[in-house]
Amino acid sequence: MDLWNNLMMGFSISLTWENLLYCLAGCFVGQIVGVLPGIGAPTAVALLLPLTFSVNPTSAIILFAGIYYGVAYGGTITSVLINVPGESSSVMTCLDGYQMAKQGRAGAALSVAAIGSWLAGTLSVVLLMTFAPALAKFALRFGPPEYFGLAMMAFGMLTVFGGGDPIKIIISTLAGLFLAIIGLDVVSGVPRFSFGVPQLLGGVEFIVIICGIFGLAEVFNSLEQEEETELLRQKIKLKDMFLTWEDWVASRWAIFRGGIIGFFIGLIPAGGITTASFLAYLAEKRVSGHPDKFGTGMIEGIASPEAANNAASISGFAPLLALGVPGSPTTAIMLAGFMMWGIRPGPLLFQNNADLVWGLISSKFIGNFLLLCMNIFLIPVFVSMLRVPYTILMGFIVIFASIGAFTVNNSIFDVWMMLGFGILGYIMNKLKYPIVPLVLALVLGRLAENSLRQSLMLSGGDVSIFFTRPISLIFMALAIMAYMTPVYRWAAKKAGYGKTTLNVESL
Amino acid sequence: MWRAEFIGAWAVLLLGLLIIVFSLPLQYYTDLGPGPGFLPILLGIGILLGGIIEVIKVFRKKGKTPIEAFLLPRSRLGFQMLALIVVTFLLLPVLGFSVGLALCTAAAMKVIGKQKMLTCVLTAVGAAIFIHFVFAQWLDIPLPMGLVGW
Repeated sequence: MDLWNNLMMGFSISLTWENLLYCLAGCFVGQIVGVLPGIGAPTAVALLLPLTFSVNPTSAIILFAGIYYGVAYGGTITSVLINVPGESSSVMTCLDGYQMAKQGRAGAALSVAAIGSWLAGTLSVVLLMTFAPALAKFALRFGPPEYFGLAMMAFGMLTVFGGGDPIKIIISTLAGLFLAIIGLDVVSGVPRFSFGVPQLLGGVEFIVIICGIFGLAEVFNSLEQEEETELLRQKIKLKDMFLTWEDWVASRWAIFRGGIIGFFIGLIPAGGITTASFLAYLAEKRVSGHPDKFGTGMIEGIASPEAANNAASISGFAPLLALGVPGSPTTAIMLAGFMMWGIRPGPLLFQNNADLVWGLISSKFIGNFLLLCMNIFLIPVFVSMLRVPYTILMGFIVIFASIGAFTVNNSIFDVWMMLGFGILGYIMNKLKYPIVPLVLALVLGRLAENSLRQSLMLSGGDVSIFFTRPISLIFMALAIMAYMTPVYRWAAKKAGYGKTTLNVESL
Repeated sequence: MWRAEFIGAWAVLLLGLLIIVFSLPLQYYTDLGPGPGFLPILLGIGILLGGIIEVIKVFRKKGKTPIEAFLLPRSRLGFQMLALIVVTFLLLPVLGFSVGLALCTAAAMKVIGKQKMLTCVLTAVGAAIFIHFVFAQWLDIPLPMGLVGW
């Protein structure tokens, strides 16, 4: 009954004209961001976050959530029509989506992606509604050792799901933690690594870093890429967007399976929507009676990963809201937003800011429905976005990044620092040092350090405190297992099992 | 690319070393528990070890991997953009945010995107109006103004 009352309270908030507009704007922007290659959800949220200083936090988070799951919808369009994923989470959709488009079934491909995303998204919201409050209740038992264990587990999971060189992932994580501790130490008041620069005493602003590392770096990286995409000249009529009965029969269980996989992967810190779509595709191929036909235009090959990425983009809010631990770079940026608005996500959020939580959850029902409509009726509008020259988009990224960095302290120093982080992001990308671990560590750095120090103060310096409390022990064990990933991979390679990471080419 | 990776690995190693050096004056442990230098030293050691592993890996890779250039033919576009941004930021106190960033957009469109002059001018005017009215007026952000008062 509580659940129902809370949901109704949420709808009373999300259905106000103001919040409906924010939800619509978020979904629309997310859809466009998803369509445009070279700009992703973290970039969009990072660039818009500084502009929401004066906005009601509930409306702002509804806007950003709309962008996040809107991107998961929008990335499909380019995957199907030009064989270029608008987002990494739509990589798997290229395999069968583009083949379907070449066979003249682009409408059905886009439609099953939209319907699958909507159904899985709705399923994920229902599961989130029941799961997140329970998780928050459970998290009330957490003390500093558990929070430190949780942060360690989140960092460790990056080495499992990061999909790159584990050593580079660890270095990137440590660099993020280092950036997080710059400035005055909260316990002793001693300045650390500020080198007498007054602007650094308060630490390096998270927004400044993300505007540079996601915004500007994205511009430099995108300019380097060759533009060799060709839009399929296919007129998509409204009647093409409706699925046939055979299509529905073939895809319904794939949608369900994808939705469930996506929901659970989204719950894992650092699991992410890309991993969800990869795993859903693999699972679908495994249960299929004709796995050899995957990659030739199978509708299940679109339905499952699309359902999974949308479900994960919604369930990713559970660890953020209930534990205060983000599961992806986009939710990490949102966590920074919460802090900016003076709200601390975590178990008490459900008690202290129930209106925000339930307003957000209920807005996801509305947003998913809006996106379904957009993806059926407005496809030509979004396709036309692909014809906008990148240099215009690039100019606007620079504008938003510069103003975003300036807004934090009204300081030109921050704008220059943002440029420095843009160059750092570009170099990291070139040398294949992943950026996501740096961002997650940056946002969780203070929590990790404070909980580590508080735990050691409680235990008188005895590190066994992390291994003698059951919840903390589980987190630490998972973290250690995750950090051992490089060793497993090395051992597997030695034993002749080859590469154990996910490889699109091999699918 | 090998040289870039080599420099990158040494940069990581050096970063770790510098973090340790600058952490040494900070108190590692206090009567209350871990001090302000506790985590920085651990992080420094971790980054240093990571750097050492990377240096060894890069050394072992020499000559074994296909040659891949760090800078691509289109990298010059990125450098052009970087130069434009640096010039714009230097001129921000004179031009102001609205005009400066709008001119940067137009210049990027002309130099990098090879767009028509009219398109660039119209975009610049549109961008300046957008920045002024949306950011400075509507969102009330105190953007520095330039000579034109915008």
